[in-house]
Amino acid sequence: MDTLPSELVLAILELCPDDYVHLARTCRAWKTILDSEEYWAHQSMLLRAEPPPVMLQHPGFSWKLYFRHSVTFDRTVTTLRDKDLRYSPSGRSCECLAMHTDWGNLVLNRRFKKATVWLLFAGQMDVDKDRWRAGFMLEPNPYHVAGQTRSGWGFCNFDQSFGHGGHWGSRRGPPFPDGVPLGLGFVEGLFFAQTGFRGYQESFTHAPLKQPASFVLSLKTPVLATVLGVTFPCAPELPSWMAGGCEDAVVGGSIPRVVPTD
Amino acid sequence: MATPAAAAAAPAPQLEGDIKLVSEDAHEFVTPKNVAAQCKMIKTMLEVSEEQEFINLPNVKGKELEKVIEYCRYHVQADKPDSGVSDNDKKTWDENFVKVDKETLFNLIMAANYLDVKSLLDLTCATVANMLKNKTPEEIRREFNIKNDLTPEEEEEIKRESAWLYQ
Repeated sequence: MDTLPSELVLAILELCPDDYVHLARTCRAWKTILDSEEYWAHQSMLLRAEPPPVMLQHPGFSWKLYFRHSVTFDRTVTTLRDKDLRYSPSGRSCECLAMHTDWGNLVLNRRFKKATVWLLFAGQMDVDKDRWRAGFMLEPNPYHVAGQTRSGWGFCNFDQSFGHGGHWGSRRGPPFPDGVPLGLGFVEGLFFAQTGFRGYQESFTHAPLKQPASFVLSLKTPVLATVLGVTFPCAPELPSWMAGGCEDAVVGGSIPRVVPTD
Repeated sequence: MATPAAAAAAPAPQLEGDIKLVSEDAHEFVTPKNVAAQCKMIKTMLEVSEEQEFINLPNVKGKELEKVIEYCRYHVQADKPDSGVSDNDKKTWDENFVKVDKETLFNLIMAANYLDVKSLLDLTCATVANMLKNKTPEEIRREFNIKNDLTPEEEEEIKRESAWLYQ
C-alpha cells in the first residue's frame, strides 16, 4: 500500500470512518492523512446533505423536526445562553443555535474536530416566559456509542438554566460542564414535555421503559449513519409511541399545551 | 469559428474503429475505441485527434492495462439498457474482477486513477477499504506489510485521545 500516492490512500481511508482510530494507529503517514484538512473536508461534505424534515402527528397537535447541519466546531467552549436563541417575530418559534454536552464530546471534538455534526433538536418554548422551558437533543456521542453500546446516541436535556441534564445510560450523569457549541437545531411548532422528559429520563435510568428504548433503537442507525457519512439521506424511522400517543412517554407530568407555529 | 455555445451543443464525435493502446512495458492492445473511451483520459485524447492510430500509456503496465480493458469491455456491454444483465450480475462480476493479489489491486487503483475510470477507481478503493474494516492496527500492518513507525509515545497519545473506545 505504500506504493499508492497519499491522495489515493486518502480516498481509501475516507471509506472507513468507523475505523478512524485503528487506522490512525497504524502508521504515521496514515495518521497524518487522517488529521489532514482534506480528510475532514470530505467528511464534512458528506454530512451536509439534509434529510427531509420529519412530521410527527398526534390528535390535537403536530410538529415538525428539522435536521440541520451544525456549524463546524473548533474547540471553542461556550455555554448555551438566551442569546443563542433566535426567536421569530411573534416569539412563538425559534431557532436554537448551540448546544453542549458532557465530556464524551471532548473526544467527539477531537474525532470530529473539523466535521459537521448533525443534531436533532426538539424543545418546548414557554411563550409566557418567552423562553425555552425544556428540550432534548440527540447527539452523536462516541463515549456512549463506543464505550457502552457500540452504537447509539447520547441523550441530553436541559432545563431552564440550560445547564443541567443527564445522559441516557449514564445514571443521570453529572451536571453538564460548560459545553462545546455543537450546532444548530431548529424547532417549529413542536414541543417535548419537560415533565415527560424528566420522567422519561428518570424512568429510563432507574427502571428502563420500553418506549424510550425503542425510540433509541429506531433512531440510532440512520442518525449514526448520518454522522459517519455512510448512508444518506435517510429519515429516521419514527417510533410508534411517539406518533401514536405521547402520554405513554410522560411520567409524573401532564402533556403541555401546544405551541402553534407561525 | 464556433461560438462556445455552439461548441457545447455539437454532438460528440462517433467513436468507431479500433485504437492501439501501448503500455509502459510495450504491450500493445488493439481495442475498440468505444471501449477505450470508457477511460476519460483516452476519450479526451480521441476527441482531440480522431485519426491517431495508437496511444502510449507510459504509466500503466501491460498486466493492468489488460485488466482495465477487460473491465471496460464488460461494462460497455453490460451497461447497455437492453443487455439483459442485472445489477446483481454486474455486482458479482465486479467482485470477481477484483479478486486479485494486492499488488495487482494497488496497480489497478493507480491505473484507474491515471486513466480516469471512476467506477473502477471506486470499486478498487472500496475493495481495499473493506480489507481494512474491523481490523486492529496490528492486523492491518500485517495484512498490508506496513511498518509501524509511530513511537510508543505517539501511540499512547492516540490511545489517550480515543480512550472512550477502550472503556
